[in-house]
Amino acid sequence: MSRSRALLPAGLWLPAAAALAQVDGPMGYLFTHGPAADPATRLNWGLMAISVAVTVIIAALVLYASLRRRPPLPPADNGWPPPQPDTGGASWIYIGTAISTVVLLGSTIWTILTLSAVAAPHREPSLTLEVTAHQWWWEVRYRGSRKPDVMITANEIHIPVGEPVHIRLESDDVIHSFWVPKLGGKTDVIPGQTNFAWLQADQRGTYRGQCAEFCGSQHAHMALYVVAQDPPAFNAWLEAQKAEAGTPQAPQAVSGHEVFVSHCSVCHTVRGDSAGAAGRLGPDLTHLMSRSTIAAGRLPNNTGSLHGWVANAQAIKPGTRMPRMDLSPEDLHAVVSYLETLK
Amino acid sequence: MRTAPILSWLLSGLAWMPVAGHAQQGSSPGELPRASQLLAVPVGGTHIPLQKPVQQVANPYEKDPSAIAQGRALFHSMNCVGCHAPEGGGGMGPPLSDHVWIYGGQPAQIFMTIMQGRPNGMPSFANALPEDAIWKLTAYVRTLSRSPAEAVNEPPASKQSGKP
Repeated sequence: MSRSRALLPAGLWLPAAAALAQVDGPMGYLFTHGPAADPATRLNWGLMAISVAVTVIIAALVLYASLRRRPPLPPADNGWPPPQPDTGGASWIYIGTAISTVVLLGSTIWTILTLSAVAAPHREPSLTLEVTAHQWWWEVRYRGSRKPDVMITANEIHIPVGEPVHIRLESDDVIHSFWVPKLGGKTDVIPGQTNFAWLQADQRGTYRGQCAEFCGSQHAHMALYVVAQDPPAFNAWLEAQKAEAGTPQAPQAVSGHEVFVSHCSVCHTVRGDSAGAAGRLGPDLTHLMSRSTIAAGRLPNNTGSLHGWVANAQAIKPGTRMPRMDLSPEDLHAVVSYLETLK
Repeated sequence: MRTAPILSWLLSGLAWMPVAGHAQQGSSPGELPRASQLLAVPVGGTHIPLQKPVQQVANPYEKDPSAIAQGRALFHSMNCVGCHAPEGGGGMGPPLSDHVWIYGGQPAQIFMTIMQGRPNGMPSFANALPEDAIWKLTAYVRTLSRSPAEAVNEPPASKQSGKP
């Protein structure tokens, strides 16, 4: 008897724990890792606890009231039902309203305090990034102290751990929304308007982000990654990204470079390219191979994905601006081997 | 203040020079329209009210079969076919084989569209191709909307030959 009673809660808690583990996936916003998100996460859990408590208490009271029975009163002498005696039930209303008022007011104050806590970082960010949303990828700019000192990458943001980072958000086409759930709330990215967001990662790691405002057919395939690194590793990454691409050496890569110049350079930039590939429509490919994914998180970045993507991006991400390439197999292999030199 | 007359005199001299060159060379394909002419070309074609009639800037390669063939080769090698399809049937990009031109169908307008790029996916080819090649491409693109009965090096056919 006692054993089955003990098993019952365990039987309930195991699926609950499993469900919580599921919730904490790459986009799980119930467990966060930075001060731009943590106050909101605490509020989220707190309001959820209050809501659950209110539901349980009200359900218990309703059940209690409906199950409670009074013995029927004897009819009055004149045959009418007897008047209900005042048993003090109205006091439940006063107590209930008073408790609700206090809890609701408390939640309001907590919400306002949370909003002010996540509105701005507690100290001035040392790093400001510019993120431009496109259908369907993210362009990321790191500016140095001098104006021409700018580095452009795509779909992968690197930040130093423990540092607040300011993000300037602009859209090139339609309304998007910048959302890295483990590090902060959503900020809409609106054409013709500059919005600001900030993030801070307290732990090293890779955090997934996603466009959070429906922006067209490939909205679901508009992901980004935020890689939080120790400051020395971050600085090394930044210096490596600022470097210009080298000249391909292997014969296959050299002929691939020719294909790249005629077929790709109008839309894609490779900084330092001898033929001046400086297109602005597609992502900057100067350090393509340093990124973990291609096509805004659509595919892992490897040789097979690159072949498929270059050959026919429309089959992989229909509607993307990247057109189908009518390349011979030799040219396809050559251009991918050139891309693989862009470390 | 004294520089102004000198400047205008110099400029007027400059303005005459291409004309003189034109007189010497005749209508040889080497004579490309100047940027000052091209920048006056209205592009868009969607403006309301309608703009002034398009200033006619002639394409030196308009009737040149070898230039058109080179334009066709460029149309494939620069992957115009990726968006506009072979023969300009259209796909991701608008068709070029019909008579609808979002940004104008005059040679100079097509030239400027290739040169500058247009919103929603058309890249600028200004860095990728010399002007000369863009004019050849323009000449080829202009042939796509002609009916098969019309030879590329003939003037557009009159009404009776086209439609059934």
